[in-house]
Amino acid sequence: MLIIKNLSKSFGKKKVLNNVSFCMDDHEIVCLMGKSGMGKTTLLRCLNQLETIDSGTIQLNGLTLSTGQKKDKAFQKAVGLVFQNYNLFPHWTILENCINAPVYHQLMSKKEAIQKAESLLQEMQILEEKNSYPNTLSGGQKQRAAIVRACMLDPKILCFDEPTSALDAESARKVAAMIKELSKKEIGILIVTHDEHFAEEVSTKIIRLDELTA
Amino acid sequence: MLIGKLILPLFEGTLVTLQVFAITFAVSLPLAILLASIQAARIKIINLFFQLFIMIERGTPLLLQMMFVFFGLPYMGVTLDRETSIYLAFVLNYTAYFMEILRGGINSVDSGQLEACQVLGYSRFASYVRVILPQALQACFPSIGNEVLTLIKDTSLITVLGASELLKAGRSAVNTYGTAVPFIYVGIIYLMLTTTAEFLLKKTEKKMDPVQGE
Repeated sequence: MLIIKNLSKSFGKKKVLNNVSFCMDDHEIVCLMGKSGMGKTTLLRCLNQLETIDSGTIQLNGLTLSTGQKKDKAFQKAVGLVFQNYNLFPHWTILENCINAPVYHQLMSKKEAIQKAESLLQEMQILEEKNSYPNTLSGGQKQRAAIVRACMLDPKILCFDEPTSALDAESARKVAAMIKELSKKEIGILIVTHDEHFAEEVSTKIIRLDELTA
Repeated sequence: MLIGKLILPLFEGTLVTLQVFAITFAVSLPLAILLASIQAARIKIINLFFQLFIMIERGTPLLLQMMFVFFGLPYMGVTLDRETSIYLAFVLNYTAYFMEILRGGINSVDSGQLEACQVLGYSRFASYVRVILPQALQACFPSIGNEVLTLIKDTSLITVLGASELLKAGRSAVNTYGTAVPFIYVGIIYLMLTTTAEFLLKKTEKKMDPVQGE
Protein backbone atom coordinates (compact mmCIF):
# COMPACT_ATOMS: atom_id res chain seq x y z
CA MET A 1 0.00 0.00 0.00
CA LEU A 2 1.28 3.46 -0.91
CA ILE A 3 0.62 6.21 1.63
CA ILE A 4 1.63 9.78 0.90
CA LYS A 5 1.30 12.11 3.89
CA ASN A 6 1.60 15.91 3.83
CA LEU A 7 4.05 15.88 0.94
CA SER A 8 5.50 19.28 0.06
CA LYS A 9 8.06 20.27 -2.53
CA SER A 10 9.29 23.69 -3.63
CA PHE A 11 11.64 24.82 -6.34
CA GLY A 12 13.14 28.05 -5.03
CA LYS A 13 10.24 30.18 -3.87
CA LYS A 14 7.71 28.30 -5.97
CA LYS A 15 5.76 25.74 -3.94
CA VAL A 16 4.84 22.97 -6.37
CA LEU A 17 3.38 20.43 -3.92
CA ASN A 18 1.69 21.70 -0.80
CA ASN A 19 0.77 19.14 1.89
CA VAL A 20 -0.43 16.51 -0.55
CA SER A 21 -1.85 13.35 1.04
CA PHE A 22 -3.44 10.27 -0.48
CA CYS A 23 -3.13 6.50 -0.45
CA MET A 24 -3.57 3.64 -2.91
CA ASP A 25 -3.71 -0.14 -2.70
CA ASP A 26 -1.33 -2.49 -4.49
CA HIS A 27 -3.81 -3.60 -7.12
CA GLU A 28 -5.33 -0.18 -7.81
CA ILE A 29 -4.98 1.88 -10.95
CA VAL A 30 -4.91 5.49 -9.84
CA CYS A 31 -4.93 8.40 -12.24
CA LEU A 32 -3.50 11.62 -10.92
CA MET A 33 -4.99 14.58 -12.71
CA GLY A 34 -4.75 18.33 -12.50
CA LYS A 35 -3.79 21.42 -14.41
CA SER A 36 -0.29 21.87 -15.82
CA GLY A 37 2.11 23.08 -13.15
CA MET A 38 0.12 21.53 -10.30
CA GLY A 39 3.04 19.20 -9.52
CA LYS A 40 1.79 15.87 -10.88
CA THR A 41 5.09 14.95 -12.48
CA THR A 42 6.98 16.34 -9.48
CA LEU A 43 5.03 13.94 -7.28
CA LEU A 44 6.06 11.02 -9.49
CA ARG A 45 9.65 12.25 -9.41
CA CYS A 46 9.57 12.45 -5.60
CA LEU A 47 8.18 8.93 -5.48
CA ASN A 48 11.02 7.75 -7.71
CA GLN A 49 13.60 9.72 -5.70
CA LEU A 50 14.52 11.88 -8.66
CA GLU A 51 13.65 14.82 -6.39
CA THR A 52 14.14 15.08 -2.65
CA ILE A 53 11.07 15.94 -0.60
CA ASP A 54 10.90 19.10 1.51
CA SER A 55 8.45 17.74 4.09
CA GLY A 56 6.03 14.87 4.59
CA THR A 57 6.49 11.15 4.10
CA ILE A 58 5.96 8.51 1.45
CA GLN A 59 5.35 4.99 2.73
CA LEU A 60 5.27 1.87 0.62
CA ASN A 61 4.84 -1.60 2.12
CA GLY A 62 6.77 -0.73 5.27
CA LEU A 63 9.42 1.37 3.53
CA THR A 64 9.46 5.09 4.26
CA LEU A 65 10.89 8.10 2.43
CA SER A 66 11.13 11.33 4.35
CA THR A 67 12.82 14.72 4.36
CA GLY A 68 16.59 14.84 3.99
CA GLN A 69 16.85 11.10 3.53
CA LYS A 70 19.52 9.61 1.29
CA LYS A 71 18.44 7.42 -1.60
CA ASP A 72 16.73 4.29 -0.36
CA LYS A 73 17.66 1.43 -2.68
CA ALA A 74 14.91 -0.92 -1.49
CA PHE A 75 12.34 1.85 -2.07
CA GLN A 76 13.85 2.59 -5.44
CA LYS A 77 13.49 -1.03 -6.48
CA ALA A 78 9.88 -1.10 -5.30
CA VAL A 79 8.88 1.78 -7.56
CA GLY A 80 9.13 1.76 -11.34
CA LEU A 81 8.67 4.63 -13.76
CA VAL A 82 7.75 4.75 -17.42
CA PHE A 83 8.93 8.18 -18.56
CA GLN A 84 6.87 10.38 -20.85
CA ASN A 85 9.58 10.12 -23.52
CA TYR A 86 10.45 6.54 -22.44
CA ASN A 87 14.21 7.21 -21.99
CA LEU A 88 15.22 3.86 -23.39
CA PHE A 89 18.98 3.52 -23.83
CA PRO A 90 19.57 4.02 -27.57
CA HIS A 91 22.84 2.08 -27.75
CA TRP A 92 21.26 -1.10 -26.37
CA THR A 93 18.80 -3.39 -28.09
CA ILE A 94 15.32 -3.71 -26.59
CA LEU A 95 16.35 -7.00 -24.96
CA GLU A 96 19.49 -5.44 -23.50
CA ASN A 97 17.44 -2.51 -22.23
CA CYS A 98 15.24 -5.01 -20.40
CA ILE A 99 17.79 -7.46 -19.00
CA ASN A 100 20.75 -5.27 -18.03
CA ALA A 101 19.26 -3.75 -14.86
CA PRO A 102 18.16 -7.02 -13.18
CA VAL A 103 21.45 -8.67 -14.14
CA TYR A 104 23.37 -5.64 -12.82
CA HIS A 105 21.49 -5.92 -9.50
CA GLN A 106 22.16 -9.69 -9.49
CA LEU A 107 18.44 -10.36 -9.09
CA MET A 108 18.71 -13.16 -11.64
CA SER A 109 21.16 -14.74 -14.04
CA LYS A 110 21.39 -13.43 -17.59
CA LYS A 111 19.65 -16.56 -18.85
CA GLU A 112 16.76 -16.08 -16.43
CA ALA A 113 16.57 -12.39 -17.29
CA ILE A 114 16.34 -13.20 -20.99
CA GLN A 115 13.56 -15.73 -20.35
CA LYS A 116 11.61 -13.27 -18.22
CA ALA A 117 12.14 -10.38 -20.66
CA GLU A 118 11.06 -12.49 -23.63
CA SER A 119 7.93 -13.57 -21.81
CA LEU A 120 7.03 -9.96 -20.92
CA LEU A 121 7.88 -8.72 -24.42
CA GLN A 122 5.59 -11.42 -25.76
CA GLU A 123 2.78 -10.21 -23.49
CA MET A 124 3.38 -6.68 -24.75
CA GLN A 125 3.41 -7.96 -28.33
CA ILE A 126 6.88 -6.69 -29.20
CA LEU A 127 8.93 -9.86 -28.88
CA GLU A 128 9.80 -9.69 -32.58
CA GLU A 129 11.55 -6.36 -31.89
CA LYS A 130 13.80 -7.72 -29.12
CA ASN A 131 16.96 -7.30 -31.19
CA SER A 132 15.98 -3.90 -32.58
CA TYR A 133 17.34 -0.63 -31.28
CA PRO A 134 14.92 1.89 -29.74
CA ASN A 135 15.39 4.45 -32.53
CA THR A 136 13.86 2.03 -35.03
CA LEU A 137 10.61 1.55 -33.06
CA SER A 138 7.37 3.51 -33.06
CA GLY A 139 6.28 5.52 -30.01
CA GLY A 140 3.85 2.82 -28.91
CA GLN A 141 6.49 0.08 -29.25
CA LYS A 142 9.01 2.15 -27.29
CA GLN A 143 6.46 2.64 -24.55
CA ARG A 144 5.76 -1.07 -24.31
CA ALA A 145 9.51 -1.75 -24.19
CA ALA A 146 9.83 0.83 -21.41
CA ILE A 147 7.02 -0.92 -19.50
CA VAL A 148 8.82 -4.25 -19.80
CA ARG A 149 12.10 -2.65 -18.69
CA ALA A 150 10.37 -1.26 -15.59
CA CYS A 151 8.57 -4.54 -14.84
CA MET A 152 11.81 -6.54 -14.96
CA LEU A 153 12.64 -5.24 -11.47
CA ASP A 154 9.27 -6.41 -10.09
CA PRO A 155 8.07 -3.03 -8.80
CA LYS A 156 5.22 -2.83 -6.30
CA ILE A 157 4.11 0.45 -7.84
CA LEU A 158 4.57 1.34 -11.48
CA CYS A 159 4.28 5.01 -12.38
CA PHE A 160 3.40 6.35 -15.82
CA ASP A 161 4.08 9.95 -16.77
CA GLU A 162 1.57 11.05 -19.43
CA PRO A 163 1.43 7.64 -21.13
CA THR A 164 -0.94 8.73 -23.89
CA SER A 165 0.57 12.10 -24.72
CA ALA A 166 2.28 10.83 -27.88
CA LEU A 167 -0.27 8.19 -28.88
CA ASP A 168 -3.32 8.14 -31.13
CA ALA A 169 -6.70 7.01 -29.76
CA GLU A 170 -6.26 3.39 -30.88
CA SER A 171 -2.79 3.10 -29.32
CA ALA A 172 -4.09 4.76 -26.14
CA ARG A 173 -6.81 2.10 -25.91
CA LYS A 174 -4.15 -0.62 -26.27
CA VAL A 175 -2.08 0.99 -23.51
CA ALA A 176 -5.16 1.09 -21.27
CA ALA A 177 -5.74 -2.63 -21.85
CA MET A 178 -2.09 -3.42 -21.09
CA ILE A 179 -2.13 -1.37 -17.91
CA LYS A 180 -5.24 -3.24 -16.76
CA GLU A 181 -3.42 -6.53 -17.41
CA LEU A 182 -0.43 -5.32 -15.40
CA SER A 183 -2.59 -4.45 -12.41
CA LYS A 184 -3.77 -8.06 -12.30
CA LYS A 185 -0.18 -8.96 -11.33
CA GLU A 186 -0.59 -7.11 -8.02
CA ILE A 187 1.30 -4.10 -9.33
CA GLY A 188 -0.18 -0.80 -8.23
CA ILE A 189 -0.39 1.64 -11.12
CA LEU A 190 -0.07 5.38 -10.65
CA ILE A 191 -0.68 7.40 -13.79
CA VAL A 192 -0.20 11.09 -14.35
CA THR A 193 -2.38 12.19 -17.23
CA HIS A 194 -4.35 15.05 -18.72
CA ASP A 195 -6.46 12.66 -20.75
CA GLU A 196 -9.89 12.49 -19.02
CA HIS A 197 -11.20 9.84 -21.38
CA PHE A 198 -8.18 7.59 -20.84
CA ALA A 199 -8.34 8.13 -17.07
CA GLU A 200 -11.99 7.11 -16.95
CA GLU A 201 -11.33 4.06 -19.09
CA VAL A 202 -8.33 2.73 -17.24
CA SER A 203 -8.48 3.82 -13.61
CA THR A 204 -10.09 2.41 -10.51
CA LYS A 205 -9.65 5.78 -8.82
CA ILE A 206 -9.10 9.31 -10.09
CA ILE A 207 -7.32 11.77 -7.83
CA ARG A 208 -7.42 15.46 -8.67
CA LEU A 209 -4.32 17.09 -7.29
CA ASP A 210 -5.97 20.49 -6.75
CA GLU A 211 -8.46 18.82 -4.39
CA LEU A 212 -5.69 17.20 -2.35
CA THR A 213 -3.71 20.31 -1.56
CA ALA A 214 -4.26 21.40 2.03
CA MET B 1 65.80 6.80 -60.95
CA LEU B 2 65.13 9.38 -58.25
CA ILE B 3 62.27 7.44 -56.75
CA GLY B 4 64.57 4.48 -56.04
CA LYS B 5 66.87 6.71 -54.02
CA LEU B 6 63.96 8.25 -52.14
CA ILE B 7 62.14 5.10 -51.09
CA LEU B 8 64.26 4.25 -48.05
CA PRO B 9 64.50 7.75 -46.46
CA LEU B 10 60.80 8.45 -47.10
CA PHE B 11 59.86 5.04 -45.70
CA GLU B 12 61.93 5.67 -42.57
CA GLY B 13 60.39 9.15 -42.23
CA THR B 14 56.92 7.69 -42.61
CA LEU B 15 57.65 5.18 -39.85
CA VAL B 16 58.64 7.99 -37.48
CA THR B 17 55.49 9.94 -38.43
CA LEU B 18 53.32 6.89 -37.80
CA GLN B 19 55.06 6.18 -34.50
CA VAL B 20 54.45 9.72 -33.19
CA PHE B 21 50.85 9.55 -34.38
CA ALA B 22 50.17 6.12 -32.89
CA ILE B 23 51.73 6.81 -29.49
CA THR B 24 50.08 10.22 -29.17
CA PHE B 25 46.68 8.85 -30.12
CA ALA B 26 46.98 5.70 -28.01
CA VAL B 27 47.92 7.67 -24.90
CA SER B 28 45.99 10.93 -25.26
CA LEU B 29 42.53 9.54 -26.10
CA PRO B 30 42.25 7.14 -23.10
CA LEU B 31 43.82 9.83 -20.89
CA ALA B 32 41.28 12.37 -22.16
CA ILE B 33 38.41 9.92 -21.52
CA LEU B 34 39.64 9.44 -17.96
CA LEU B 35 40.12 13.16 -17.30
CA ALA B 36 36.82 14.13 -18.99
CA SER B 37 35.09 11.58 -16.77
CA ILE B 38 36.65 13.15 -13.68
CA GLN B 39 35.65 16.55 -15.07
CA ALA B 40 32.06 15.31 -15.44
CA ALA B 41 31.96 14.70 -11.68
CA ARG B 42 32.00 18.52 -11.37
CA ILE B 43 34.46 18.91 -8.52
CA LYS B 44 35.10 22.64 -8.55
CA ILE B 45 38.80 22.78 -7.68
CA ILE B 46 39.71 19.94 -10.06
CA ASN B 47 37.70 21.48 -12.86
CA LEU B 48 39.43 24.84 -12.36
CA PHE B 49 42.75 23.08 -12.84
CA PHE B 50 41.43 21.31 -15.96
CA GLN B 51 40.13 24.57 -17.40
CA LEU B 52 43.52 26.20 -16.91
CA PHE B 53 45.27 23.22 -18.49
CA ILE B 54 42.93 23.23 -21.49
CA MET B 55 43.19 27.01 -21.88
CA ILE B 56 46.99 26.85 -22.03
CA GLU B 57 47.16 23.82 -24.30
CA ARG B 58 44.54 25.08 -26.77
CA GLY B 59 45.50 28.73 -26.56
CA THR B 60 49.18 28.36 -27.46
CA PRO B 61 50.77 26.78 -30.54
CA LEU B 62 51.85 23.15 -30.30
CA LEU B 63 55.15 24.23 -31.84
CA LEU B 64 55.76 26.61 -28.92
CA GLN B 65 54.80 23.89 -26.42
CA MET B 66 57.26 21.48 -28.01
CA MET B 67 60.05 24.06 -28.00
CA PHE B 68 59.28 24.97 -24.40
CA VAL B 69 59.49 21.35 -23.29
CA PHE B 70 62.71 20.62 -25.21
CA PHE B 71 64.58 23.95 -25.05
CA GLY B 72 62.83 25.76 -22.18
CA LEU B 73 62.60 23.18 -19.42
CA PRO B 74 66.39 22.66 -19.16
CA TYR B 75 66.60 26.27 -17.88
CA MET B 76 64.35 25.14 -15.04
CA GLY B 77 66.54 22.14 -14.32
CA VAL B 78 64.45 19.58 -16.21
CA THR B 79 66.17 18.07 -19.21
CA LEU B 80 64.27 15.66 -21.40
CA ASP B 81 65.55 13.89 -24.47
CA ARG B 82 64.15 14.70 -27.88
CA GLU B 83 61.72 11.79 -28.10
CA THR B 84 60.33 12.29 -24.61
CA SER B 85 59.87 16.02 -25.28
CA ILE B 86 57.98 15.32 -28.49
CA TYR B 87 55.67 12.74 -26.91
CA LEU B 88 55.07 14.83 -23.79
CA ALA B 89 54.12 17.94 -25.79
CA PHE B 90 51.95 16.02 -28.24
CA VAL B 91 50.16 13.95 -25.61
CA LEU B 92 49.38 16.96 -23.41
CA ASN B 93 48.17 19.03 -26.35
CA TYR B 94 45.94 16.34 -27.84
CA THR B 95 44.63 15.29 -24.43
CA ALA B 96 43.36 18.85 -23.96
CA TYR B 97 41.64 18.89 -27.36
CA PHE B 98 40.11 15.44 -26.84
CA MET B 99 38.93 16.46 -23.36
CA GLU B 100 37.05 19.44 -24.76
CA ILE B 101 35.47 17.31 -27.46
CA LEU B 102 34.44 14.69 -24.91
CA ARG B 103 33.04 17.32 -22.56
CA GLY B 104 30.74 18.43 -25.38
CA GLY B 105 29.80 14.82 -26.05
CA ILE B 106 28.98 14.13 -22.41
CA ASN B 107 26.90 17.32 -22.17
CA SER B 108 25.00 16.35 -25.30
CA VAL B 109 23.58 13.18 -23.72
CA ASP B 110 19.97 13.77 -22.67
CA SER B 111 19.62 14.23 -18.91
CA GLY B 112 16.70 11.77 -19.06
CA GLN B 113 19.23 9.00 -19.68
CA LEU B 114 20.83 9.60 -16.30
CA GLU B 115 17.39 9.77 -14.67
CA ALA B 116 16.46 6.46 -16.25
CA CYS B 117 19.68 5.01 -14.78
CA GLN B 118 18.74 6.37 -11.36
CA VAL B 119 15.24 4.90 -11.53
CA LEU B 120 16.72 1.54 -12.54
CA GLY B 121 19.10 1.72 -9.58
CA TYR B 122 22.44 1.93 -11.41
CA SER B 123 25.26 3.47 -9.39
CA ARG B 124 26.70 6.76 -10.64
CA PHE B 125 29.80 4.98 -11.89
CA ALA B 126 27.81 2.27 -13.70
CA SER B 127 25.48 4.89 -15.20
CA TYR B 128 28.44 6.81 -16.52
CA VAL B 129 30.45 3.89 -17.86
CA ARG B 130 27.57 1.86 -19.30
CA VAL B 131 25.12 4.49 -20.48
CA ILE B 132 26.49 8.04 -20.67
CA LEU B 133 30.04 7.48 -21.94
CA PRO B 134 29.14 5.17 -24.86
CA GLN B 135 26.54 7.68 -26.06
CA ALA B 136 28.94 10.59 -25.57
CA LEU B 137 31.69 8.84 -27.53
CA GLN B 138 29.28 8.12 -30.34
CA ALA B 139 28.08 11.73 -30.41
CA CYS B 140 31.55 13.22 -30.55
CA PHE B 141 33.20 10.64 -32.76
CA PRO B 142 33.21 12.86 -35.90
CA SER B 143 35.06 15.58 -33.98
CA ILE B 144 37.54 13.02 -32.64
CA GLY B 145 38.03 11.92 -36.24
CA ASN B 146 38.89 15.47 -37.28
CA GLU B 147 41.49 15.67 -34.55
CA VAL B 148 43.00 12.37 -35.69
CA LEU B 149 43.51 13.78 -39.19
CA THR B 150 44.98 16.97 -37.74
CA LEU B 151 47.32 14.88 -35.59
CA ILE B 152 48.69 13.04 -38.62
CA LYS B 153 49.55 16.37 -40.24
CA ASP B 154 50.80 17.94 -37.00
CA THR B 155 53.47 15.26 -36.69
CA SER B 156 55.40 17.29 -39.29
CA LEU B 157 56.04 19.87 -36.54
CA ILE B 158 58.56 17.60 -34.82
CA THR B 159 61.02 18.44 -37.57
CA VAL B 160 61.85 21.64 -35.65
CA LEU B 161 63.33 19.50 -32.87
CA GLY B 162 65.49 17.74 -35.45
CA ALA B 163 63.48 14.52 -35.57
CA SER B 164 63.75 12.67 -38.88
CA GLU B 165 60.11 12.35 -39.79
CA LEU B 166 58.50 12.31 -43.22
CA LEU B 167 58.68 16.05 -43.98
CA LYS B 168 62.31 16.26 -42.94
CA ALA B 169 63.15 13.28 -45.12
CA GLY B 170 61.49 15.05 -48.05
CA ARG B 171 63.27 18.33 -47.37
CA SER B 172 66.65 16.60 -47.17
CA ALA B 173 65.95 14.92 -50.50
CA VAL B 174 64.98 18.25 -52.08
CA ASN B 175 68.29 19.76 -50.91
CA THR B 176 70.32 16.72 -51.99
CA TYR B 177 68.82 16.22 -55.46
CA GLY B 178 67.89 19.82 -56.27
CA THR B 179 64.30 19.07 -57.27
CA ALA B 180 60.87 19.67 -55.73
CA VAL B 181 59.68 16.18 -56.66
CA PRO B 182 60.32 14.72 -53.14
CA PHE B 183 57.81 17.23 -51.75
CA ILE B 184 55.19 15.80 -54.12
CA TYR B 185 55.97 12.29 -52.88
CA VAL B 186 55.73 13.52 -49.28
CA GLY B 187 52.34 15.08 -50.07
CA ILE B 188 51.15 11.84 -51.64
CA ILE B 189 52.25 9.84 -48.57
CA TYR B 190 50.43 12.25 -46.23
CA LEU B 191 47.33 11.96 -48.41
CA MET B 192 47.56 8.17 -48.27
CA LEU B 193 47.85 8.26 -44.49
CA THR B 194 44.96 10.68 -43.98
CA THR B 195 42.76 8.88 -46.51
CA THR B 196 43.39 5.53 -44.83
CA ALA B 197 42.68 7.07 -41.41
CA GLU B 198 39.47 8.65 -42.74
CA PHE B 199 38.34 5.33 -44.19
CA LEU B 200 38.99 3.54 -40.88
CA LEU B 201 37.27 6.32 -38.92
CA LYS B 202 34.17 6.14 -41.10
CA LYS B 203 34.05 2.37 -40.69
CA THR B 204 34.40 2.69 -36.93
CA GLU B 205 31.73 5.42 -36.80
CA LYS B 206 29.34 3.22 -38.73
CA LYS B 207 30.09 0.31 -36.41
CA MET B 208 29.42 2.49 -33.36
CA ASP B 209 26.01 3.54 -34.66
CA PRO B 210 23.70 0.80 -33.39
CA VAL B 211 21.25 1.23 -36.24
CA GLN B 212 23.73 1.56 -39.13
CA GLY B 213 26.09 -1.00 -37.65
CA GLU B 214 23.49 -3.76 -37.59
